[in-house]
Amino acid sequence: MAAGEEVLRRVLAAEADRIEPGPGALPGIQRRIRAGDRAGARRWWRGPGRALPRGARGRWGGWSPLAAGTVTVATLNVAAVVVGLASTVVPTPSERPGPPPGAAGAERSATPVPTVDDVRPGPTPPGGPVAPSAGQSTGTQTTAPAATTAALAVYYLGGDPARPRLYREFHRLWLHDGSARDRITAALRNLLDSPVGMDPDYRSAWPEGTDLRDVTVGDGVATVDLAGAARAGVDEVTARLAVQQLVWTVTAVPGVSGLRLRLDGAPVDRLWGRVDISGVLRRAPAMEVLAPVWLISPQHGDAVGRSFQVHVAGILPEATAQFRIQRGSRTVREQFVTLSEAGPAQGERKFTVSLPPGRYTLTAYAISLADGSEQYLDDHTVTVR
Amino acid sequence: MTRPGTPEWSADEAITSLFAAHYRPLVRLATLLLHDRGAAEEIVQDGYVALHGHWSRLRDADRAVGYLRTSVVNRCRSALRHRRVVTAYLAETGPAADAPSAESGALDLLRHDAVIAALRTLPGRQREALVLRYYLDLSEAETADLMGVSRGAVKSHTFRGLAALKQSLGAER
Repeated sequence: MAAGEEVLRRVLAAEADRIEPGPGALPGIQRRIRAGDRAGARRWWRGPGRALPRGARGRWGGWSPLAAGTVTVATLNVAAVVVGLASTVVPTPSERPGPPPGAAGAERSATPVPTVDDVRPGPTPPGGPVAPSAGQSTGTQTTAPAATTAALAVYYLGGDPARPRLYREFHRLWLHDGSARDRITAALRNLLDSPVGMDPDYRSAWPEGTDLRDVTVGDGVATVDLAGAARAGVDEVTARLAVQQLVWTVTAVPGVSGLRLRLDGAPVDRLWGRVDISGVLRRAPAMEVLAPVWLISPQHGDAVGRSFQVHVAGILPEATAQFRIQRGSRTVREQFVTLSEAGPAQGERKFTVSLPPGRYTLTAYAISLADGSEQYLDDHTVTVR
Repeated sequence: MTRPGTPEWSADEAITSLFAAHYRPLVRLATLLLHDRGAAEEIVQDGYVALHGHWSRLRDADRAVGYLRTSVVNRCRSALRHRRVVTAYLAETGPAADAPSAESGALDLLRHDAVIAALRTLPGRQREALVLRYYLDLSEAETADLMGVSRGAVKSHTFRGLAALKQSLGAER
């Protein structure tokens, strides 16, 4: 059969040579990413005879079936955008090669690194929008309305599975027009897209298959319509935090302080039979829902320079957190970190660490006042280049 | 494909670079599996969009290419399951009469068309195994990994596929 194999190899190679992709696919891909499309959520091949699942593909997920011919047409429409896109987004120097996020102001103006108010660990006051802080005006919004990315806050559950709390990550996501609605859509799509955060220790409380139908924003309140959320059961502890996970993520967007939740297009009073979701939902007190210790940056999986900034936040009675650096199983450094404020407020502290290149595990945690044990560990693996 | 010195791409950079290097081969792979270039392009584009969402957990060009290939193979399989592409295309005439490449010109065109037509009639797994082994030149182990089956299964899909194609492969000799 060796001769047959060789013939098959040549036939396949020759057949492949005939296949030339249409032009301009990259802009189409980038446009879909920017729009928060979830590839794979589409079921376009089912054809017109079959209904889309639950009518769930709302305006954000409702990609019309692009036939081979229309791909090109769609591409032409965005061609103009892409010229600008190529220069602003594609070679995103992002925060990686330079100083860590939130370092010097100069870098911030060039790229949409987390805005100052995003990086600030202090929970935004419940019921109030994020206080604008110095430097914000130099930040995110550029003149180009399309094709920008921003680091958006996304909250996850983590810590003791019996008593999970919220942790926050910043995810660099595509924006369309930079509006609150746009930011909320991007952040929630990202939240619902994966069962875990960048740090696999962080998990989403929302059942897989939950889909975003629509987002509207008015008077500082975002109305978010979800599909498929109620199908799966969620336990008591997770249910309450699931709602807070959403509330904290949505209200991390400046100008938004409350969330109204709809399921499959209709207002609902209770979710999973366990948690009240009627009316406008606000952030629960930080003390009750946030993890007592956060290692804010570097984030899990980051690559940093030899000298980098560590940012720790905590809600701790004596404003004292612990910080440890390990390489493999060897502890390289251990230190106290005195936070700016003691609990119930969330204090923070930034400091600089210098390390030779290698992979390290950074852990922020607290010592129990009761028995001296380590608790609330938040560890991130990072690479020092 | 190792890409030394580029492990720190952002998701956007990754999409751009991986597009440049792999979009065409992936479309070709998908077209060989699906026999529908438009659908193949859609599927590959879906793969890139999904890759962007998963980039933070891949962060590595080698794994990303594997991710894209797996995604393409799986999506082609789903597409075939949901739409009777094979039957639809069998009803049509042979390959489009666009200019054959130098190599296909050298081949017996009749046999070429016979092989491609026969490939379309194979069960999906057999076609996957043949395309991955003889178009992508993957090893049995790599093919097994990508298809999510055992090496033994790859061996048997390949063997049966080749046997079914034997007539067209050997024809006109």
